Amino acid sequence: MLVEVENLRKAYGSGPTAHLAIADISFEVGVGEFVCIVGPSGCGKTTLLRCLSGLMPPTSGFVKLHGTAIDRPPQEMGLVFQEYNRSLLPWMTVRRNVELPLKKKIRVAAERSRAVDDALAAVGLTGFGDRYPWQLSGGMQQRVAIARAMAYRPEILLMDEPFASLDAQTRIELEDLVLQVRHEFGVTVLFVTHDIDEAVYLADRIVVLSAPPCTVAEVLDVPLPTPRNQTATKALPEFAELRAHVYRQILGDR
Amino acid sequence: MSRRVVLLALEVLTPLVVLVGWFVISAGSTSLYYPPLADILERFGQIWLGAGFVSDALPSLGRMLTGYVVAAVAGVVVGTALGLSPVARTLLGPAVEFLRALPAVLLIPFALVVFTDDTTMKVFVIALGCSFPVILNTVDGVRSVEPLQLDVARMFGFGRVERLWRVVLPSASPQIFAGLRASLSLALILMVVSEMVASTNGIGYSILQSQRLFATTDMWAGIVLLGLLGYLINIALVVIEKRVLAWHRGFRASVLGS
Repeated sequence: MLVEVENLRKAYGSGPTAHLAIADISFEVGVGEFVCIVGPSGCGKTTLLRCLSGLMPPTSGFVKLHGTAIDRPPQEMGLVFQEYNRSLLPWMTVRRNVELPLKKKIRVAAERSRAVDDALAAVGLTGFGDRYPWQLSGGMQQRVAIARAMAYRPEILLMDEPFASLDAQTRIELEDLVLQVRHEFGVTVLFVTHDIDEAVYLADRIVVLSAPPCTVAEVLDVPLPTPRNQTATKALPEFAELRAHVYRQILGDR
Repeated sequence: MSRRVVLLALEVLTPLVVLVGWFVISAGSTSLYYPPLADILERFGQIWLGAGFVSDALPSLGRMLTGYVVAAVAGVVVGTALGLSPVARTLLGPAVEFLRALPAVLLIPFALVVFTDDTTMKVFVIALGCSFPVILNTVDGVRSVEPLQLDVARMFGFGRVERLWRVVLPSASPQIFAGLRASLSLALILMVVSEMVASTNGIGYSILQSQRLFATTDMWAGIVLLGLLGYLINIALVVIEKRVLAWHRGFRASVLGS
């Protein structure tokens, strides 16, 4: 297994005033899988992702990568945040933003430059390298963030509600972009979202979280045919069934 | 004609109108205190575009620049340390607040006693006085770094130095520049005052000397020089700031606009 989450528990504070964000979560992710994590709002999805990425230590339990528990952000992971306008560095051009994590990994400037070009091409931003992030639309900024995460070829791409603040059309474009990037780079994707349709459309497997304090309500395979297609896939009866199933899990029989 | 052109014209024309007004009104004046502008400009040319520039203006500028650069470097270093470390802030915060509340010119009597060397004394006063605006603004800037950008740095496996250099300082640079600008006018004031109290050369010394000799025209010429220097130095800093912080103007405009 590539990633193993074992009895992960996270409480903020201690003693009687402690707030339990995550009660007990276990699941596994295999190489090349696309796993979506969905749950009701406020169920600690972001906390979970911060633990998965090594940015925050769990109170107890482990996140294991290749069988070893992580205690800091591993170099095998790339992370894309929801807030693209805050996670990109506004004093750097798009090109320098994407190049930033490569400085140590690729010493030769020409090679590094090629890696940046490849990453920008993969997200459809060829020719935008010399712009500043804030000169671009929200969707394009999030593409830059994806390019930056992918440029150093991580094994795992973590995404924290990456499209939640984009409009519906841009979101659809970027969903397909992520599928394409995943196909092109063969990267494993762990994708946190509150959007059930998005989760069913993208995922090979869905980890459904319960209301807080959060546990795993269900781990669900998504046996929809690939490659996915926004109209054809979403028109399938299986898509509707899966979607309804996850809705019931999260919202109850409303 | 666009609004910008009108504004620019006003910016250039208003001082010109004031100057012409001064020139016309003061022309033919026989007052000892308010000599004609024509005379002032003539003396300005004789003194400050001649030997006085080397004997008085250059030493002044040299001391001011040295003190200012020391203040800028020390201010950013101390400010960054205080900004990064809550412990350092707790320990040194009150002391910094206290020292900063003291008018910097109060340092002069102390510096006069401590430093036997004239130049060192002035550089010390300028450097110490100017460092506080830089320190306080740097602390603010360093503390207000976007937490998400620090997370990004951690994901990239940046060490302390790299995080500081690539994320914290660039992010704090707008506030650091605000501090540098505030210090600049302070540097000019401290330079002049320190020269008026104890000196054998310099612009401040020269102005005071002229006043004591009732050479009010020369005194006015010195004041004109100080005004010009202050203006030009500030423009130089603004030009640098516009280059270094070009991103910040665009970024702010885009954030406010969206």
